[in-house]
Amino acid sequence: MKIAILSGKGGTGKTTLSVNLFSCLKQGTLIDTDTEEPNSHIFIKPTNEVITNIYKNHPVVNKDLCSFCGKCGEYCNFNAIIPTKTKVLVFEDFCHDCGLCEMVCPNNAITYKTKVIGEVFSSHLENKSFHYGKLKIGEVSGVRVINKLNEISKEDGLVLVDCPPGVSCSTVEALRGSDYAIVCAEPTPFGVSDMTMVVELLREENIEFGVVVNKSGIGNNQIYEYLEEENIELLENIPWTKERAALYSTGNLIADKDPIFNEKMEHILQKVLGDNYDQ
Amino acid sequence: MINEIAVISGKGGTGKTTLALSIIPYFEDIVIADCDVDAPDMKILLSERVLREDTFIGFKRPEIDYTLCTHCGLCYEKCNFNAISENIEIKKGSCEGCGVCSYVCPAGAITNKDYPIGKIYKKQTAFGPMIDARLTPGEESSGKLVSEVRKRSKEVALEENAKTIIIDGSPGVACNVISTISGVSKALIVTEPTLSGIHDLKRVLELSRMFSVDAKVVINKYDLNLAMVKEIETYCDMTNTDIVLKMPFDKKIVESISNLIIPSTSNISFFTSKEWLSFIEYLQKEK
Amino acid sequence: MDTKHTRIAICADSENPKDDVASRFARCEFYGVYNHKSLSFNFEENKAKNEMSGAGAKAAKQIYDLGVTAVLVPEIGPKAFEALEAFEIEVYRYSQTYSVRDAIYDYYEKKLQRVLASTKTGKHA
Repeated sequence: MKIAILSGKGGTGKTTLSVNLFSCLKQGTLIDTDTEEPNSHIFIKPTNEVITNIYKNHPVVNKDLCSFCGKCGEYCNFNAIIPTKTKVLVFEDFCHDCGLCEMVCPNNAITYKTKVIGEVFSSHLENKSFHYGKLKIGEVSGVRVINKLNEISKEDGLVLVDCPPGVSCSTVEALRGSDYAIVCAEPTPFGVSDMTMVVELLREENIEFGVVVNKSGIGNNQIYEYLEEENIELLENIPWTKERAALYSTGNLIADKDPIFNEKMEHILQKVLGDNYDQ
Repeated sequence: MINEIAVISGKGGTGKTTLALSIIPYFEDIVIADCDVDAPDMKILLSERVLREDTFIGFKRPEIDYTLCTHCGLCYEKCNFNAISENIEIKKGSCEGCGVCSYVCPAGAITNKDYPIGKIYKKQTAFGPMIDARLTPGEESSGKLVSEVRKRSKEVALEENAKTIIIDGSPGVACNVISTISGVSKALIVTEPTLSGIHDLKRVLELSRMFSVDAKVVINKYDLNLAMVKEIETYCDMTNTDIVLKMPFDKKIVESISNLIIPSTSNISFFTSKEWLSFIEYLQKEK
Repeated sequence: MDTKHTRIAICADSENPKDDVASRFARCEFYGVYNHKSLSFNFEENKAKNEMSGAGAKAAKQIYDLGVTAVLVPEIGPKAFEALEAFEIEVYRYSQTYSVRDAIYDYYEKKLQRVLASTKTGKHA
């Protein structure tokens, strides 16, 4: 079973929720798909990590065969290959690795070279696995790294996915194959506004979901009204406390030190996993 | 020259939008640019009137004419993104707009069409004109849409003789952020004293340096962890980065937002402090 | 007066040399091409401004195709700079908002900073 944890807005507590839910499981896998700013490893503190490189191809032009006809540049939609009268420039970071330039080249002057665009870090402890992905700065898309994370965890029984913030194509890739989504929201006007975008996406992708209102007590009731109007299940309410904020700030798992918080995590798991939850 | 002030954060939720909003009341003749196209939140606190709405076009997407399609399967075979199913149906979410399918189709059944991926608005608010935009959920984040917001905000500023543009940026370290900070007079990175906050601050500082933007740091909710604040200070010292403001966590600020009131116009003592007022003075100065 | 470059390009948002220079390189509306021999301006619409990505690289190519050997810019990202460098186009940066014509004067009076490989970090390509 695959459970995605996401939020429209950053900073609502998505990662906090993911790592703490994970800590309450006896077995399972956690994948952190926020490849631009992965943070869960700060709380999980993995050891003995195995690193998997993520590759992407980009074109290499054989100057002896190239006739500088300019066709590759004409067809490339990403401005990754820029031919001139005397040389051909390749911008690897823009290249989406689609293969079109090689197809259109009339002189077979293009071949592909591979380079590392990101990494996946994997670790295992007892019955649990943890993987997170990191994209190299400058690269345009983390989708390939997320793809790998999905692939690695495909056969695992229970997978929690810490999704990227926002609702862009990276989030869509992270959501792929999810059976259920937990939306982490905060009870402020920003939280409500951003939640509506997440809800739109989840409904479009046809993924069943419920909401955890995090840092409750610091905002207003607008979000509860919204959930009621939209008939969305409220899974749990987690009040903000200075202690919880402090634990988070130093990379600690709140569930380890805060029994009420721990109980709430178990409550969520029970609701979402039902009979599959092994306490 | 127009004073463009951009507020960014590596990590989301550090208080970037709250800060951008709080700065607004201190400036006259302004234009507001909300470059957070994934989650445009400025409008929530600025009572707005939409003056104009335009569709925003992204990469072209393929369209299949099934009257010409022979189901040869070549497009399915050649697509590197698994965006065409075996039944020759396009999976919108996976398509990257590369153009391979239309190129290889022997029957000419695939054409590339302009594809709308969001909307860009011109609005009037109580403080001045605002340009914001919304990316359709599921679409590829784009520096181009942010560039467009920047460009239009500048056009409006010139039309209305505005002196300052206040820019709420995108979180993260990608093209949106680059487009947010390109060519601004002042950039503020809002961070928080948490391990995650520091981790992301470093990445976004690296990005600003790559683009020759002299970004300054604002530490929000600093009183939640003074030890972490020290770490940020040490790092900033080491990298010659200035910290221009430290804001405390104050429940009243969140309450103010919940009541849809800009925090700096609420009765909150921090905003009468010397620290806050010198910060505003710094922002108001010509470069 | 420096006669090294016959054609110099400058970032503009209109077709009038008396109007202000643009504030972005790859997203400006026009490139004003100043011809040193004929002492005249020719404005070309920037074909890269609507690109989703790689606008800088595409803009560099357009400038190269126009026979320009020096360009005056307000800012320059690392990839755009890389492209201009590969095309052997010199890059100079202006740091104020003034007219296109005034910026060209500044160039000839050697008041503009030449941009060398200062923004590249080697993280890509």
